[in-house]
Parts: sequence; C-alpha cells; structure tokens
Amino acid sequence: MREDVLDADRAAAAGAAWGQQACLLADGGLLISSTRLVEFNVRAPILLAPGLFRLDLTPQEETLGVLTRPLSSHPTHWRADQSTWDGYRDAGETAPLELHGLFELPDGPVTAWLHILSFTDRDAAAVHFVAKLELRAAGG
Amino acid sequence: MRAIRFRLPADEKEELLDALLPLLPAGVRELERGDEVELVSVAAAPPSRAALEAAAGVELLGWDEREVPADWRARRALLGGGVLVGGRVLIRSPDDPPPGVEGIVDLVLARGGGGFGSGSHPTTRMCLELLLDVAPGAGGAVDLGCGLGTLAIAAARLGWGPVAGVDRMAEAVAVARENGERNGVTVDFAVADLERDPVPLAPLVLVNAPPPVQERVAAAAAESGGAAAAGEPDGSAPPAGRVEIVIASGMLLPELRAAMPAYAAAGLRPVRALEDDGWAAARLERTDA
Repeated sequence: MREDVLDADRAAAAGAAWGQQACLLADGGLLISSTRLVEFNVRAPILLAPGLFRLDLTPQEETLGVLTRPLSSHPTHWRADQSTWDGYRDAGETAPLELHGLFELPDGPVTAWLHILSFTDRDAAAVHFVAKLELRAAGG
Repeated sequence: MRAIRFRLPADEKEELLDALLPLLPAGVRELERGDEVELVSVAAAPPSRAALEAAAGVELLGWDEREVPADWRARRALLGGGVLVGGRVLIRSPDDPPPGVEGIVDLVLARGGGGFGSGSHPTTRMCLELLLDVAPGAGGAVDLGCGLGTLAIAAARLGWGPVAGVDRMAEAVAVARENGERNGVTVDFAVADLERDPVPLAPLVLVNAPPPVQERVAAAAAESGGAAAAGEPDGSAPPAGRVEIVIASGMLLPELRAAMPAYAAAGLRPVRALEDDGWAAARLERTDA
C-alpha cells in the first residue's frame, strides 16, 4: 500500500492530463509537482496523489476554495498553520499556503507536506498556481 | 474554444467528479440547480460525451456543447456572471451582462486596489441580505471598511442617505469613488484606519471588518450615548445621527458571539443572524430607546 502511493510513475501518470510530474526524493519520499492556470470561479484539479487525495482549487476574487478530496477510506488528517488562512488574498505576503497531512494506511502512516503558491492575474481573470507535495513513509 | 455543459445529481457529484475531473483538467464551473448541479467546462478540445459517460458510468443529463470565445471577457458576457443576493441585488463586474429581469438593484463594481466587496465572499452577501430587510431611515448610513464601496453603494441605491464609507486602503477608496460614480450615487468615501482613527457613526452602521474594528465601533457607539456622530474621516463631515442599526460581519461565528457584549453595552442587540461557511453576520438594533 505505502509502496504504491510512493510510486513516481503511478503519480506522474495519474496527473498526466495537466502535466503533473513526480520523482523520488533522496530520503525515499516522493515529490509531486504541478503548475496550473485556473480561471476565477472554476474548480480545477491541481495535483493528484493516487490512492491518497486530489487537490482541487477554486479561485475567486477574494477567496480560495481548497479541497483535499480523499481518494481512500483510510483515516486522514490535515492541518494548516493560521498564517496560511489569509495568504491568498493578502498581496503583501508571498508565503505559500502550507498544509500538513497524515494518512493512516494499513501498513503504516504516510505524511504529506503540501505547498501552494499563487499569483493572481486580474487582467486574465485567472490565478497561476504552483503546487508541490512531499510524501514520506513515517513511523518505520 | 468549446464549452460543454451537463448536469449531475447533487448527492452524487463528488463521486462522479472523481471520475470526470481527470478528464477535465481545465476544471468545471458548478451551478446549483435544485437537486442537480450543472457543470460547465471550457477547453480547446474537451472530451466527448461518450468518453465522459464511460468514465462516470452514468448518463450525463442536459448535455450541451457549443463554440465560445477564447477571450474571457467575451465569454463572460455570453455565459453570464455576478452574484445575486436575496433575489434583489446583483453584484457584477463591468464585464458581466446586466440582469435579464426588471426590479433588480444592479451594482456594477470595478475591482482593484486590493479592495474587498466583489460578492464572492459570504460576508458581503450576508451583510447585503441583512440590509435588504430594513426600510431606509432618516439620517444616513456609514460603511466601515468599505473596500470597493459595495455596501455603501447598495445602501445608497436602496434609499439611505447621506451615505459615507471609509477604508484604510487609499487605493481601494479610489476605486470605491469610481464605483460610486459608475452607479450614479453620492457617497462620501474617505481613507481612515478604524483601528486608530475616530470612528464615524450614523443611524445605520455597516461594518464588515475583523474583531478589533468591531470592538472600536461598539465602543464608539456606546460613548456616543445615542447622541450625534463622532469623528470625521479625512476631514469630511460624517452623516449625523444616533446609531440605531448595526450590520456586523467579517467574523467567524465565535468571533461574532464574542463581539455581542460590547454591542449590548451600546444598547444594540441582535435581531437576525446568518452563517455561511463558518462566517457569520448579524443585524443589531437599538433596544434602549
């Protein structure tokens, strides 16, 4: 199970429709990276970690809809630092939205560290997103 | 560019999107249609209906496919946009088409300057909904943290006057002034930092702002003791009159609850509250008259 969700080929294929890339990290983790341009009021898949979750973002003019859609029935926990909550609208901040996840898979937990950078292009009524996910087997 | 449009049962939407979204990388617009959700996706080469139905394993209802302009402004003018509040007020950008029916208060608001108030956020919509319940009174209104001027302009369009609005962001105030002219109303917009500067008051106070501002507004209302207005934004004369109604939002539900005692000390108690996606709004009215 953990071997599957940390498979780079599987991850790259899952998000191939939007050019998602994946590679193994030196410590054995998996990096999934994706970039998208999404129009206001459109819900778009940004990043897909097969067997774990899909990240959908819905940019609006003042808010950002963030959905980590679970793709398994295993217990999942997400948390975000408070500084992340207003990071989308505050143009004076360049810090990424940052989420930490824990997936309780049958053969052991997997941790997730998700970064989302955004740049709003009002002339195009759209938002550029760069999303990066690091997955690691935890607890042995 | 081509737009495809179809409907799904609302209670099966998320499961079906698990199968459909990987085939629709451009994403979907979701429009509530009672028990169904209408989805619209625009792409240069969208997948066929057969491909989507094979992935979803169900028939896609109301299928429609048509050529649409690549330019988003032209497309928006064709497909529509804007936010309708309470069935009576439409908030739209200059790029959106006007309402297709009569009797709608049509607010045309340019964006810019980092100003808040496009209607995409639930607090703006809830404030407007609470405002729609109230018959305009004498003595005017003030919009504290006015952003693009949305609530102030709406109040003026609904018959309140004189109306003022303040915001700490000069760029947003400049856009609000343009929006006031665009909507044919006279609103006295000025720059003020409500965490430091005097708080202008009026019989109707619209305050879509975070808790520190709410605390200052409640304190100012209490100090005014039901007398005339306090403070002058940017040297301009504020609307005069005792605070009779406060429409407060910009807070999460626990924050709104925490703000109530300070308003109660000013003789203002909640008569209606709304909640949307964790955000809350309340209309408070004077009870010590």
